[in-house]
Amino acid sequence: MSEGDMAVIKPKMLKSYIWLQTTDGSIQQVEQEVAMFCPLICREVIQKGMGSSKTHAISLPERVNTAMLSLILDYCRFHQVLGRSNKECKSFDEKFIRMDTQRLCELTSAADSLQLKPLVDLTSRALARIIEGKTPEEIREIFHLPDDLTEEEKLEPLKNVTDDPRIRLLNRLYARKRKELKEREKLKNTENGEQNDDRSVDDLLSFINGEIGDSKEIKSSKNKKKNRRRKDQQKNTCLYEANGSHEEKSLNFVCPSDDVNKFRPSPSLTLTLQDLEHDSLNDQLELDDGDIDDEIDPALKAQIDREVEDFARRLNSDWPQRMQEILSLGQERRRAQFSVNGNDSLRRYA
Amino acid sequence: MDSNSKLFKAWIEDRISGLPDAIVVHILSFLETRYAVQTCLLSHRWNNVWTYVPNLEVHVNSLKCGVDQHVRESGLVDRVLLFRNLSNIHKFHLACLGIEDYFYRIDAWICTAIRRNVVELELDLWTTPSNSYTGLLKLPRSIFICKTLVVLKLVLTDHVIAIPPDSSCFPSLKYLDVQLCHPVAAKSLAKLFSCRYSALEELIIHGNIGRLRGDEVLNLNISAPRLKRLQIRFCAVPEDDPYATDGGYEYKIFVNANAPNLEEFNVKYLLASYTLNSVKSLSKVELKLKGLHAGENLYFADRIHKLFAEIVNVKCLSVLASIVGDPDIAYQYPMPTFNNLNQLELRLQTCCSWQSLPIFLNASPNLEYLVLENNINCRAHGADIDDADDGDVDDSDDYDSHISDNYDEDDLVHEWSPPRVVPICLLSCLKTIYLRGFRGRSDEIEVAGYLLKHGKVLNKVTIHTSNFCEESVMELWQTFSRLPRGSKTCEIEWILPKL
Repeated sequence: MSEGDMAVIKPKMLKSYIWLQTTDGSIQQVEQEVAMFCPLICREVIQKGMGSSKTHAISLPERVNTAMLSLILDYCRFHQVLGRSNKECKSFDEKFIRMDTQRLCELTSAADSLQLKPLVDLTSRALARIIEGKTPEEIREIFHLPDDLTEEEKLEPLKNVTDDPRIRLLNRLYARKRKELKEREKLKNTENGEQNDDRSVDDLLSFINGEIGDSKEIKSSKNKKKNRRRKDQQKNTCLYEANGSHEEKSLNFVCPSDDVNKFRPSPSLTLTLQDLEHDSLNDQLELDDGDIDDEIDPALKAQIDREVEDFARRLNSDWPQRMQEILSLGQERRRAQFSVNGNDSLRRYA
Repeated sequence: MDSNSKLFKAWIEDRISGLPDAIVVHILSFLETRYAVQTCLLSHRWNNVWTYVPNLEVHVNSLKCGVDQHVRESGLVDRVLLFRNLSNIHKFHLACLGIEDYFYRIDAWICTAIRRNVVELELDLWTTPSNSYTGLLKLPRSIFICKTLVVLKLVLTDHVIAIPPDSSCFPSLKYLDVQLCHPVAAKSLAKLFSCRYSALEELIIHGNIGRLRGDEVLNLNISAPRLKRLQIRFCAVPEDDPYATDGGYEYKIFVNANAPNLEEFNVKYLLASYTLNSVKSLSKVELKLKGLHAGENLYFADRIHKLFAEIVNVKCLSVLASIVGDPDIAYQYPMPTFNNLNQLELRLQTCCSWQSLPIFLNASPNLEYLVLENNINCRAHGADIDDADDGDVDDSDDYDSHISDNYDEDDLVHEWSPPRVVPICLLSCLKTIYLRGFRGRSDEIEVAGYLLKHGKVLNKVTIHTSNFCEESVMELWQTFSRLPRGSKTCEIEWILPKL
């Protein structure tokens, strides 16, 4: 018999202890029956004979730090006692998992690395209960998740809660915009080969809000930084646009899609025009749009304001002239964006 | 670098995204699918995690808010099934209300789950409550031949039926739970069991089958060679008129279970005519026939007697059937001898006499453990559907429910007349007695006294009182300590209810 085995079944000791070492260096001894409740420790003791002395302490996986270890041992200490009634176990469990979400996540991780399945189940259920029924924003806030899906979110069709015809139109326009974005993406980023399962993201987004009509509009892709930034610029301008002269614009732009299509000389041009349209409408009706405002540099604001005024003026003139303007505006804008990019501090994703 | 530090900070504090994929999927598997799918909006890391969740739980409720909502919700199911990856579905729980609008889609969903090798399938499919609808949803044939299905729970109504193909079906099904929602055609229930369930180990039938019209007779022939646990918990009460005088459709129901390995048998509400071919294997039987009061139709006595004959080799028996105490019946239908009976739980309602106690004691020569529960709520006839299907609620644990307004003060019923001959088990083997719902009435004390006096090998008597005040318990304690005890080693333990 190996030394380890001997240590485990020593009859003369009243209580056997097992030595455990966490990654942050601390070594402690734990009652054998408590420690053996964890399958990983159990295996280490039986198969490798570790844990019998301080020098041969079982080194625990890195996800188990001292605080977590003590929690886990508390759990084991309670549950390894046989003959506890269901009620007792349940009430202990309920009290046990009352902790903040960060610790809960840590505990899940630690329990998983020790292969302690009942505790993993318990903590997972607790986390599921926290997630249940909350909006993505609330969940992100609770768990401090990075909000790195903003672009796609903006494209997400709004909930058609009121059955407003304008919202329906907006959703359709959104879908078309996504399609065009994807085409643009394909044109511009041929070298990236990022053709992985992007499609599904958008599908999910559209159906999650139950947008039935747009199930056909599938193509969109995760935007690269460049595109994102560009659209940010557009959006920012539109934000101020919206505040400024939305009323008039809405009269012009909330028209059946056919009318809009009539004025479509080239795909890229239309894209620009529609971008502006959509974003402005979007901003007016947007439900949750905190992010853009935070990131705008005051120095840039003034410049954007000016551009907005400019643009608003131009839009309110009559159509043929407007078309001319837009044609030139489109090119100008692109140039302007590049220059703005050059020295601005407006950066979403550093 | 403001956004930089913000991102960095986020990374530091975001613990949940750092958990391994398997754990995140595990967490999401506890959520209703709608919420699991929503997590794809959280951040990039959560984009596709939901597609790996093996459990789907969907609720489609069209009564909530108009047609739009229901169309959207059922659209969700379509898209979830399409867009999750092609991995297997482990558990599929579908709860739909108002299914009459989309039968064909439900069929498609179930078939998809089966194609994804579903292991646990739970179907709660309800049509909008109304009398006029006549359509029918037949569960797809592929359910019956699915090789991976182990657990199936379904609801049978007059709009949802399940008709298996001819020969054996459900090759791997171990657990079947059938809920009946009246009115269910007796034929369709019978047809469900017309095939052989070769792997079935546990079968539960509950709910309410409603009225059996005219000459309709229900013949349930259960063929399940591996069946270990059988629970018949359904009643046959016409829901529109629970107090109908032509009620008691039990007499038209015949349950024939060909289950030679049956170990546990539970009957609640329904005193059908039972035939079990489980002579040697039965170990635990629980009969809970609350509505069967003394003085009822003698017809029931015949059935009870037949039932006792079927379970005669049982080791543990729990009985709540007040009709057994009826003196006429006792004379006409003598109890068979339970030779293997080791543990007996006798539960007496307030309307019931003490007569069933000596009957059972005499019938169990090898009894070692006796639980005697008294003062169980005895409601008016026919009102028992109120507590229909309380599932696993073990109401014998809740002693406070015995303190009821229906307490019957009729002294005649509670008179204890000791049997002429002391039952054998008392003299030779009864070691432990547990008295529940004890109120300290004079007849109760007499009974306890009788047991104490003649229990020659008693070790322990535990009395669980429903009295709250300490003085009365002290009185009782003193009374008991004065009672003669037939066994020197007998000790009495008192348990007071939690305040």
